[in-house]
Amino acid sequence: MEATIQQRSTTTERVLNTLLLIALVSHSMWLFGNVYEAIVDAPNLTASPAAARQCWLDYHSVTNPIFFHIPNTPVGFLALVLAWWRSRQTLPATARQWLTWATLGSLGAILLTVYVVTQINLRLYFGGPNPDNAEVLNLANEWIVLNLARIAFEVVTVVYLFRTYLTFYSSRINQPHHA
Amino acid sequence: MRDVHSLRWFLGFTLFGLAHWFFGNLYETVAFTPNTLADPATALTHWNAFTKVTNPVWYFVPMSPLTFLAALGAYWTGRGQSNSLRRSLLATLLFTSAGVLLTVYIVTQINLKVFFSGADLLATREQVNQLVWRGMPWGIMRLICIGAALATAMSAYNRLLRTGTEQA
Repeated sequence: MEATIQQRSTTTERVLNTLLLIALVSHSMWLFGNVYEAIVDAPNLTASPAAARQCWLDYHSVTNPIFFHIPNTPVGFLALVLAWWRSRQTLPATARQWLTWATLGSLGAILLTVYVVTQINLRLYFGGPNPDNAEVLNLANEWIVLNLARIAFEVVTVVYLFRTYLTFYSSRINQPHHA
Repeated sequence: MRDVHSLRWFLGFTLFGLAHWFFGNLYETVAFTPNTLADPATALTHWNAFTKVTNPVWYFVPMSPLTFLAALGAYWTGRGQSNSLRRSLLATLLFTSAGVLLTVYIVTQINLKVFFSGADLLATREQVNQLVWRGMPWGIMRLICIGAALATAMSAYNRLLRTGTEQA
């Protein structure tokens, strides 16, 4: 009986460990992808905006950043929510609080992404009539500011996720059945 | 004790830097490389016309060189640690060094010629295309090396935690 309970507990921990790792890798990928775009892509749209936008479209004829973010971002968010849900009885109170902050940070970044994609990216990159210089510049500046806010949310998520993962890992290796 | 503290800092920075480097290279492999495969000269002409303000160098410098130094620092400060931890630190340093060497080759033999020479790429289409295609496998190898360095650094961090727990 005791062995069965211990086995079940170990399985729960393994699942949580896997979910935390997936969420950590996925959110790191999301964060550094957005940092890359903030440094390499967006500033180039502020000089000769309409011409730069056309060059960007001409270059991305096969793949574009969507291929990098989908399905990674939804998978990472889902893994984090599941980890948060499953951690109720497994994680120490402090780590559980960190995971809550990480989940809230991710939720903030998701909401911002929905806004950025529907209100900016669709007009800036995908379809519609060609915007003029002033419109591209406005959209690019709005994108830069909102992306910085999104990066801040992602930093909160990655930092708290990393702390949670390390705490969980330490607590696992302290348990007798892991010795 | 002071060494463990320094090792944590060096290894923490190495982990951050390798994640930054790996996901930056992965971004390029997914969002950029396929656009360049069919006709590199035309694609890179569009790219060079786009990157008038910033370019990928701004993302990788100075983070990547600092990451190499941090990996070196982590290996040096981890000399007195357990065999398994030292092996992980050595693997991290070797994979990071391979990434640095591959980067030096890619930058000097390909990138300087196609991104920063200011030459008309369409005028020498054949040479440019061959140069870019020749560089592709090296880029993939670098991605694998930096990914392996990231995995071994994470493993070293876990081992360090275990060491800390055993000593406590």
